[in-house]
Amino acid sequence: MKNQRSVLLLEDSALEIKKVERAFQKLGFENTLVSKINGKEGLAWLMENQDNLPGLILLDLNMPIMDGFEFLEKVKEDKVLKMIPVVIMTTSKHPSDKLKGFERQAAGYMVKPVRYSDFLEMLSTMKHYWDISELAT
Amino acid sequence: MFFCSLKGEFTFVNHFMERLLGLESDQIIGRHFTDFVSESKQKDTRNHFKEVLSNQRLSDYFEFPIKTSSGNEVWVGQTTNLYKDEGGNPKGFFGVARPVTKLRSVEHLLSESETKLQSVIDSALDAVIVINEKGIITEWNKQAEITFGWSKQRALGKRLSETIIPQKYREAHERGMKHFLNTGEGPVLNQRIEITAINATGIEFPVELTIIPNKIDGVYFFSSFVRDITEKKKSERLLKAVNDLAINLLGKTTLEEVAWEIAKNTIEKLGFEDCIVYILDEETQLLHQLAAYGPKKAEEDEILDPISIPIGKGVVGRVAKIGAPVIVDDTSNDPEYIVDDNVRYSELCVPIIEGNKVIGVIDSEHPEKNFYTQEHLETLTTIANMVSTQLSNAIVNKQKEEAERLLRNSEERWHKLVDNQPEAIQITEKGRIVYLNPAGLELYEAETLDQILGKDLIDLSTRELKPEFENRLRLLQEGKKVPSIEFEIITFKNNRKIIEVTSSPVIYNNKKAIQTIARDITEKKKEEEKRERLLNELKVVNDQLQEFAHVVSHDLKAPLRAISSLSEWVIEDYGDKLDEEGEKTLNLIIDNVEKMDELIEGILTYSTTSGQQELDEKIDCNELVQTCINNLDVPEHISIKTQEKLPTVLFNRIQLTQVFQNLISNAIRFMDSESGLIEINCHPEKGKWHFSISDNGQGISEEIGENVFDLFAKANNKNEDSTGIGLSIVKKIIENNGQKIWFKNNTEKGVTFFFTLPKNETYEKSEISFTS
Repeated sequence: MKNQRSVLLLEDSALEIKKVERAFQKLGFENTLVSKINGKEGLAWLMENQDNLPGLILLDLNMPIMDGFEFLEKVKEDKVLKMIPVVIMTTSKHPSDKLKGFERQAAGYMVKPVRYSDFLEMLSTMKHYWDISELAT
Repeated sequence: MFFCSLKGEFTFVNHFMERLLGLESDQIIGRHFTDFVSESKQKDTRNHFKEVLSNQRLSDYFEFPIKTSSGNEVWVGQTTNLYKDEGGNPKGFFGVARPVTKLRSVEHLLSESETKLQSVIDSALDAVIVINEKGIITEWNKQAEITFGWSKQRALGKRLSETIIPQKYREAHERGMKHFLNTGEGPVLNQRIEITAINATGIEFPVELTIIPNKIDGVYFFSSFVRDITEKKKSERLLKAVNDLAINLLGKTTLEEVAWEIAKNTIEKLGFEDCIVYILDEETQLLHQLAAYGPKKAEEDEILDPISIPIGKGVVGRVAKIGAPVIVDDTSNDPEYIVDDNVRYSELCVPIIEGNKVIGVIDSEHPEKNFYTQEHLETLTTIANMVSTQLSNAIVNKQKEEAERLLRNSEERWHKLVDNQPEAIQITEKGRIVYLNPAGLELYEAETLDQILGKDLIDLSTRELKPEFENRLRLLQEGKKVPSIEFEIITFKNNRKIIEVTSSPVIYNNKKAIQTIARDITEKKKEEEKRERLLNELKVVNDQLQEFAHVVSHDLKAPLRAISSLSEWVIEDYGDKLDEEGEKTLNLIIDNVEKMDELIEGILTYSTTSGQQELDEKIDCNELVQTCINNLDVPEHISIKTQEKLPTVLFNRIQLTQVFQNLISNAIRFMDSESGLIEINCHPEKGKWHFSISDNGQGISEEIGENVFDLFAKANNKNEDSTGIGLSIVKKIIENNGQKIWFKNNTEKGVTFFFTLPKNETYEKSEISFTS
């Protein structure tokens, strides 16, 4: 049985969104990718789609209006939404950011590599783990 | 006059007695008085003596007849008394007897025959001189011969004024005579007067005389009864000396004043040639000359070469030791005589005794042998007794003064010292300021001392501090220490100042007091506040800068990643349309973007290194170095040798990892030897750990040198692989922790980096006890 749940991507950079879309395509992911450009929009979308929640959230930290950490906090405050695994995808290697992320119950913290090919590899590994954990539930 | 034993046997008679009885004294002495008393009155006479003995006092006047050698019976009138020894026990009688029958009034006598008058005059006790109206001597009795040294023969017919009247009175005498003969008035007549007279050798001496004018057959003649009162005067003088001294000593309290007064009065009033007053120093047992009149006196109240005599030595020392007076009649016979300024042959020395203790000695010497009499001794003893209390008080006063002077001196010294201190120093008694130095006046901006004396510092400060002040005062009064305190005051000129105050208990003016040192720290406080504000501002700026670097690097990284991704997509999408050169160029773009990303990451790490958030922890360097080596992926041709046992240190783990990782990775990166060797060592030196990381690689080129630690500097320009940020970070970590880092190119090849780490003794000790 294949994991058919959607993936929510929170990213303000159009290019980064395109990168993930391209990677999904390239890696042959069949999951729907929904992208929102800040935490506020992301939360609004989640509220509207209570019946069809995503199976995974890919979260950039640096966004306008509502940044990644705030979004993460809101998600984890909600009884239902907190069940969705959130993986932080950021350019920051800063240990304090990593710590802050895990403190807010992020499922994973990934530093985006510079090379696109490395990014593909990373995303593929992550998808693999997600699929396994989804199948287990 | 006579003395006799208690039994009544004569022991002494004077020449009047001899004359009265018509016998020589050796014919009288030893015989009983009854031998000379008429039988009819012998019993009464005995009773008279018995009464004196039983009453123990002077008898009433008693008349009785005596038998003279010529067989005549003469009535005498007598008063008798006991004389006693020193203990007050009666030793015998002494009495004064006068012939009664012959001492009737002169008027009566004149009526008698001339012979009878003559015998009366002759036997009179006083010198009797009779002159006529012209002042010519017509009568001159035996006593007059004795008193004045003129024989009767020589005196008769001479004018009185030529014989016994001193030159200065002669004119007055003549005038008085004339005046009387003219007017019948004579103020000096018929009464006892004291005047001086001269004897045949011209020596003037005091006399007591009574002149009685008589008129017989219309012609005046004058009878004079004259008595030599030299001895009486002498006694009076001695008494007066004592009296005068007593008066002069009134109000004299200092030791010197009292001593000088004694010496001066003794000389002047007793007619001594010198007099020295010694005072005993109880501590040294030495007698010091304190006052001296005579040759030893120099200037006003000052002694020339004062000497000190040990107790027991010499006459003075001996007298001080035995506590009894001594007369030395001939010092040449006394082996103990101490020559002071001159040899003098006789010496009188009496102790000054107060409360059974000798406190000093009065000493007088005289060039003549046998000069001093028993009377001198008694007078000087009286003087000594009289002054002892005063002298003793003066000694106590002097000691007290000395103590006070010492105290004053030490206080003066203290004041001098304290007055010149730049810090405000004050003395507080019972919470009130009793002393404040000039710096204190300045600090509190008081115009005068009066403004602040009697106040307390609390009066210049806020009442809120009162409980704390009281608590400090209590602790200080209990002799406890209190910490210094800082508070704000308002000065007398209404300026606000912040002062720091240190207090400690002291003794001031013999009383418990508190010494307080106050410092004006207003400026210091302002500086501190300013510094704190600046530091805060700096911290804010730093934080902002870090935030800035964080954001900037993130913002820089995003487009970089975009460039990288886009380049790869071009290769991916248009790979078949690109030639080899085109693809290579795109890959170079990607490589450079990656390098740029590393640079940004490096800046980010550098900028956050100063914010040392994490706490220090115990780090086993062996373990840490091994982890670094494992992380580094060491090429096979390089071997890393680590000292067998590296220490455990207290440091930030992340930072220390960065240090070792950067240094070791640099050593690997710049290794150009075929068989590379990296050595890591450590040894303790001057309380620190000295680490060294040595390699046999390229070393550091001379043109770079110390700049190797600068941001973006590279040990070797040729190497394109490094960002040049690593060493800057290492240096920053080491120096931020108060440690040092430096390097030295090896003599053969390569370079050695050195750095220190803190060595914590207590921690290491506990570590040892833990492991053992």
